[in-house]
Amino acid sequence: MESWSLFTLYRRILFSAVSVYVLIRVSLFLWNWVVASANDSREIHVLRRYLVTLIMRSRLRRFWFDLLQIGVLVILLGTLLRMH
Amino acid sequence: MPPDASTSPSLSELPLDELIRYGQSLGISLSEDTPKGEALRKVRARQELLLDLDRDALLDVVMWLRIPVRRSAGKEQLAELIAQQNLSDFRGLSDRGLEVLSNLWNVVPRAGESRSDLESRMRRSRGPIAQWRRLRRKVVGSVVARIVASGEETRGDYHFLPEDAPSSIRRDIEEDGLMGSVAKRIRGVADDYVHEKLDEIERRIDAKLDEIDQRLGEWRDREVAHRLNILKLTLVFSILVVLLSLLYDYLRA
Repeated sequence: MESWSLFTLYRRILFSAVSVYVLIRVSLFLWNWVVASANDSREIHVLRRYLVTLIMRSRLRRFWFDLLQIGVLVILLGTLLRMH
Repeated sequence: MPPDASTSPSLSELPLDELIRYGQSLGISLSEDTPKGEALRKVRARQELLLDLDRDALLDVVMWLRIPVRRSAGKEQLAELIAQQNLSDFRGLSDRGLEVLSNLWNVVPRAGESRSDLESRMRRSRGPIAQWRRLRRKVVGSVVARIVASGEETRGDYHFLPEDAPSSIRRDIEEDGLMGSVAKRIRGVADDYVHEKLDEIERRIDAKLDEIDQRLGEWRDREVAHRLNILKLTLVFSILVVLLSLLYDYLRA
């Protein structure tokens, strides 16, 4: 059982607030796209397919350095969390 | 557009993006931010070079590449077809073909230079990245060919595309009468003009769509890079908080 302290309280509140915030923002983002592309007119249909193609044509190789940095940061964060 | 002096005024009236695209189709390396004056100068220099090059030698290259083309194809069309190819192996190409190819690649043959020296200079002119890419594809190609291909590939004789057959006035009058054949010819000329204009409009629309597509691709990449930066910042911040937490635990202990 984790002993309660001021910092533990801070961590819990921060974790909850950030999680809720991220959940709301991501849900809103996805919902906006669903609403925008729900129209069944031909233009929207073509645009939707084009957007999917545009996304699929992106190459992760272009962002290899950023992804490498993110990977290192995630490993670092995981290691530090395990040290608690 | 034929490579003669009469096109020069219309060439200078072309918008920069179309001029650059036209220059690139002729095999000139032009970036999007090339100033108009420089692009114009390079395109005109390429047109002058095409005037000096031997058409038969250009045909040699196209036949060696086994690109289907009419025997009557113009120098500019041949140069465009050659410019689309990524070459590094010149085996089987005639000497005059190699010479015009080197001129198109801006590798001027030196007096008394051997063929192998010219070939290696041409390969070097493409840059180390292109050479590396070619080598990689060669290895992959040989592996795949070993797995898939069943035996030696044979190359048949090269055949030109059929020419447009010119119609005979006598035959047209025989078939349609005098007025009918004249009307048919006028209609044919008008149709050709309309088709040419429609093709030109279609080419311009295609070019604009390509440009829009390219800009949207750039916007997508910028957006992804931006999101990744935000993610990195979030991770850095989280690591700082975790470090602070560790320090707090350590001090408390």
